[in-house]
Amino acid sequence: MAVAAHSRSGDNVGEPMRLKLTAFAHTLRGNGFKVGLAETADALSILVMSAADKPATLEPALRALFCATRSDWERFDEIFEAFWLARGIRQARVLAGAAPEGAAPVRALKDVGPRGGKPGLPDHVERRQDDGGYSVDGRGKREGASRAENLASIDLRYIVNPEEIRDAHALAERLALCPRQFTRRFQQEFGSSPASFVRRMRLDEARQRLSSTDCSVEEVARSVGFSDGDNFRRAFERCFHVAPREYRGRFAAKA
Amino acid sequence: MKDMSLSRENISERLAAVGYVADRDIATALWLMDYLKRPLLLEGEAGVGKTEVAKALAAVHSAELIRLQCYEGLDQNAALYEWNYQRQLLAIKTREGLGEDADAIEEHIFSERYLLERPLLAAIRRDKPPVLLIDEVDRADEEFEAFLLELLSDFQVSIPELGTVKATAIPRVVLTSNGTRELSDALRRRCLYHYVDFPEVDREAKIVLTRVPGIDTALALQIARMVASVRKEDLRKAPGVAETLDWAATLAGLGIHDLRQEPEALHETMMCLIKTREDRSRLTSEVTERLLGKVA
Repeated sequence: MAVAAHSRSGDNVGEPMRLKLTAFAHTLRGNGFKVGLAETADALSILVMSAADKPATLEPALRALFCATRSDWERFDEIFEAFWLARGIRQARVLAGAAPEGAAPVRALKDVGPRGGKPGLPDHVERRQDDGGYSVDGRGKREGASRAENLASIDLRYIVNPEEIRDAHALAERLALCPRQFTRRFQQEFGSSPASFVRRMRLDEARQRLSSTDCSVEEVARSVGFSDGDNFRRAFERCFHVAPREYRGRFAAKA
Repeated sequence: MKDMSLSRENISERLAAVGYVADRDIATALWLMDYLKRPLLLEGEAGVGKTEVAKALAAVHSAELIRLQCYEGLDQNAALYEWNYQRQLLAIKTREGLGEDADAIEEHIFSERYLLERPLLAAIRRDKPPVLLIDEVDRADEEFEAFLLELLSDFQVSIPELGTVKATAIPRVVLTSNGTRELSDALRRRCLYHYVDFPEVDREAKIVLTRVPGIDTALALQIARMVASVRKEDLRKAPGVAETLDWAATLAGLGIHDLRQEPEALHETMMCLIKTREDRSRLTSEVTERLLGKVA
């Protein structure tokens, strides 16, 4: 549920920025930084409060927040630049409302591409960039010395995109964990298995759509990823103890 | 409260107003500290001006600076509180003489009157939030660090005879470390981090200008360049900012306006920068001349 709550909360930080920041936190983690939930949350709150979204103001703030040792301090600039100024160039431009300095980043963008693990589709901006961030992260983790540490510092609430949980194997691989580790860790964090968590997410979304749209039950079922209406009805009823149609009858009028 | 808080825009000016020349990074760190209410951990070599940061912060907020100097074997008694045994003993004697019963005496002698505040307790019992400087935290033992961590998250202290003391105001906490021992991850994660390096030439020249009244701008720059190149020499102990200021004051006092003016005096006064015999023998007058040739 945490994911849903987060992505719907109407604070001032745009979703792309939030994702980008969390992706950045993960890149740092992949490089051996000890960045946890608290730091990431603080970084978001700095963004909200100060509109520190220009690299020039963002960098010192994130450096103070995310570094914990001298070696962190010395490597931070490079990682920040690679992530924020080069690869995320389009986003930086949008956020800063100004063109970034020089044309060099474009080349850097290409350079980072192949390492990003998911090359292609460069024009599909937001989603793509976030994916890239995660992938870079995954790569770093594989290089990292201690998997146990990676495991401890992973904050699933921030990185998990409900669409992706379906494929626990793929996600586990991206986090450089074995599927069993991943499932166990997921269970600890969310109190349910990845599969049932996703089902619950989708049903929640369906419930929302039933009360707020005029789509047929069949259409709603398909829109949240169920292959047919009967499966959906059974799952819905099991979860909410009410049939979809009845649910709509009760709540749609009020919407 | 409102006018006390620092904004990102005004912090550099406010630091400058109290005589501290801040770079962008440290200004941001100090602003974040206020905004996130987190302690700030400063690491860096001796003499780069870590302690100055805390002093400047206190001056900016016109707050009291409470300093806890850490050392090996520092314990809670020295850091937190102690009972004033002598006074307690005296009180027992007097009250026994007056025929009071033991319970009443005990209650009396474990009251605040007999409590000696040490820095950590003092820091949480002020009406106005002070700046608490925990200096060279890496010298204290690990147990003490753990205790510190607890204090920094709860800001309350339990005194068995007296009960729990809660913070009246949350102090701004600055910790410094010279890196003699690795600090725990828990402590590091609790804090904002800033690595303090020797200032850049421009900034050091500005510091000299601010701190040594009446010195020429050109001389200040020469001094800063000279010190920077001395630091690059293979010395046991690189001169800190305090040494630069000493040297600048000496040169100003001797009425020197240009380093090239009197090479002899220059070499002699440069001993302000040198703190060990070994370094002294390394920094011969030839070396001084070579360095001078580069910077002046």
